[in-house]
Amino acid sequence: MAATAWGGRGFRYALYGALFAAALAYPFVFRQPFPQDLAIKIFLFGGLASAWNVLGGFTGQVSLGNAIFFGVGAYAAAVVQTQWGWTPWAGVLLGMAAAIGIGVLIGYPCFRLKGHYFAMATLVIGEVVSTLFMNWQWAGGAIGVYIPIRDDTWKYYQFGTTKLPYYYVTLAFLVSALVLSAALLRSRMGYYFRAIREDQDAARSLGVPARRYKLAAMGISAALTSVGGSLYAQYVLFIDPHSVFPMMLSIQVVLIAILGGVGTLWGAVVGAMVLIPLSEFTRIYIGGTGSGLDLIAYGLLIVVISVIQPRGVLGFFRKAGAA
Amino acid sequence: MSLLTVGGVTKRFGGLSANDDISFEVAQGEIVGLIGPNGAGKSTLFSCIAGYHSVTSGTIDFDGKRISGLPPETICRRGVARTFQIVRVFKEMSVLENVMVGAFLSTSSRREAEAHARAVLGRVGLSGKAEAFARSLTVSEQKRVQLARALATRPKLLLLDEVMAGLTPQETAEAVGLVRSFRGDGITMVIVEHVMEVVMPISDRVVVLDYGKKIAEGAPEEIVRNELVIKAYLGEKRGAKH
Amino acid sequence: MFSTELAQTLLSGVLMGLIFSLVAVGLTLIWGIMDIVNFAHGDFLMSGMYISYWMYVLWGVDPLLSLPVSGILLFVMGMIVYRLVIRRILGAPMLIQIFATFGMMILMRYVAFYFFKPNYRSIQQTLLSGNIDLRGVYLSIPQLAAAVGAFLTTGAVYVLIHRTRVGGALQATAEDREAAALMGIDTDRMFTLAWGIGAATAGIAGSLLSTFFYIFPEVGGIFGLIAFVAVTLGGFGNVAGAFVAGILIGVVEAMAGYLYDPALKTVFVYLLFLGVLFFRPQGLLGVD
Repeated sequence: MAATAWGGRGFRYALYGALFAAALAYPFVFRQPFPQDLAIKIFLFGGLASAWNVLGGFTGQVSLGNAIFFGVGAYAAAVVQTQWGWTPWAGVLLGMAAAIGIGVLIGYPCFRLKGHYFAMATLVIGEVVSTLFMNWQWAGGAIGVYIPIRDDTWKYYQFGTTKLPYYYVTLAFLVSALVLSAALLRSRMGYYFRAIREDQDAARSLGVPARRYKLAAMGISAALTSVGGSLYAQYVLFIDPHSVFPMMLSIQVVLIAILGGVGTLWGAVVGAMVLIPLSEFTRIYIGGTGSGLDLIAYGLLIVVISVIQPRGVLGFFRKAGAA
Repeated sequence: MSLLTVGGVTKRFGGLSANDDISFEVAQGEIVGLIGPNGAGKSTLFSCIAGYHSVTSGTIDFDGKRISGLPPETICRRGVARTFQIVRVFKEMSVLENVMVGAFLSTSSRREAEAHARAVLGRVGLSGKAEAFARSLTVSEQKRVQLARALATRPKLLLLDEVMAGLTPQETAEAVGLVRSFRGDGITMVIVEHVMEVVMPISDRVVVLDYGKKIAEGAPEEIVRNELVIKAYLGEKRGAKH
Repeated sequence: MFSTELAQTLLSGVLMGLIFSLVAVGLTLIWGIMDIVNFAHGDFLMSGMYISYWMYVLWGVDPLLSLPVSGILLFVMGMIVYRLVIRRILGAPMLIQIFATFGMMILMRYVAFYFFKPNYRSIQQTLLSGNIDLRGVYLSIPQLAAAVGAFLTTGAVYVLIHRTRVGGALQATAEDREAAALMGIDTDRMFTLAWGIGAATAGIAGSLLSTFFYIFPEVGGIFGLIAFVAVTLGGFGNVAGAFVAGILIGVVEAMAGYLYDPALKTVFVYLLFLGVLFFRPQGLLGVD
């Protein structure tokens, strides 16, 4: 496989094991809600960024509208409860199905577009979806949906007294995303994804059905993102178009993925571990939400990374086969 | 039985006829050279056969079935592989990974694909570079990667677009030997080349294009003596002088 | 019978469309010459708006007079952006190019957000104000003046591109970069110039717009998008095409608001954009 920077297999697996153990032990070391909340956010965004990575990093299709699937998952989880009294877990499944469906629907026409135009199209579609949900009264319209508060329960995935279940479920989400990505990279699908990213026409000349695989990447990315959205809904218990569909969310996810290293396995995690604490601390100590300072930082970060490491970021691609 | 039948293929881009009513057949096991001055339409024809362009009119049949109008990936699955004139390797993947993409056509197992890819790499003499990144190779090495990749798809027909261009005499001799050895595997080939000294000795037959039309077809010895062919190439040289 | 309401709508659509055209022209220049999508183009416009606004509020300068200031400042800004950022990503993969201008968009937008707050502002008193009444159809003079200004500026750019030596050099660079370089054209200077002009036109459009439109940090978003649509419709690098497309969009938007629902008229522009993306051949579509 391509150059591994981490040395032998044994070392790597030991490292993974240690990290995992640390993650498991974390909430018992840091018992305050704030550090636990921070970790939950890191895991959530790390998972979302990994999901984006499948489509954007591995397959090279830069989507700027991932918030669509996040929002779909969030709404699915919320709405099944408020409208039909189901458990949010059903919403998770429903959200995944809806996200895959919508993803394919978007991908089918959009994948014909070349790079820049695909990115723009996803951006625009994201705005359209956001506007649609603002006007969809059945789903709460601009007001949003309040999820009925219950006592601690797994069935309805709500815990008022402790954050631990949220912590472990979100951790499981991130780990699943990573495991899935790793499996993909080693599989034929992963090779085909990367070939499409490198040179779609050359890939097709080798028998790779590009459109089918791009749609598959989209579906995987959408489903995973949707799960993240569902988990988020249950964590905050209130969603509205403004919080789950905004372009900023899509941007954040993409930024995390690039920051850590596009197309790599651990890039999303690294990016989340840098960006989330940064944005949380900025929010608390400098601006408070709504000042825009954290977004200034995002913008600056994106530009700086693009400019200083335009090929360097690609240097991270190298480890795609290894890490 | 002809493996490939090109029937009256015309390809127009706007008002320009890149290919104009071209017909010829390639029999199983043959090596056919496709030559002609620059701009004669050779690469366009390849692109049509491989499915990148839809033909404006005419038909292309492979192995008894119609392939004109099918997408490139389907045509590859039927057994047609090609290399590109301007090398298009997967830069950010290793040489081995490049070839594995081709190998995956016949298997979904990574282990099998890797084994097959390594075998093919050995065949083209790139075993030592298996782990290197494709972008770090020289152009001629990249051409071999492209070749190996196409080979890994186990094609029946190989379309080689100027694989010899820019090679040193040593490399050219190696390439010629390699191409000849493919025939032993039962692979039929159509080769586009500019380098006459290479094409003529290898080809069983030669098809000549000029300004999008087929102007001659026959054994290499006949072609070099053909008036039209000579004029076409001389005309190119004369034009170049101005 | 041609109702006055319809005429009103059409007319204001055309007037607005002329502004769209100007913004699009700047974008198409950059796009045509170097195949880079400037996601931050709308924010050049936003900058122009704020320049005019602050010159008005602080020093009482009428927007029409601060127009050249806006143009010059934005011209410089465009060149700086090119030098600092764009030049370094010229050869980079498309992913990086998207990120770079996208990041700039966010940076510019939220710097404005932070310093100027999200408040909607407007310029109240301008030199030219009031309405003209054409048999029941009201034309706002500021809007009319802005449209005329946009038209003139677009015309100036057109003349620059098609009738001057510099313009010829720009066109040559857009057509074939290497050939132009071989002919002795300094491509780096051409690119710098393109960015300068592109940003300046957006800035001027912003100044013109500030006479009758709300000024707020996110204003670049919708105008940037409209510029994209116009350029996509009109053809990349095609100034005349961008001009026509801009007006067309202005009319479509106005009609959508009139016939359907003013709150959703932006959605119509989005849908038009998507439609254009899917049905415009070549340049946008790969082989499938």
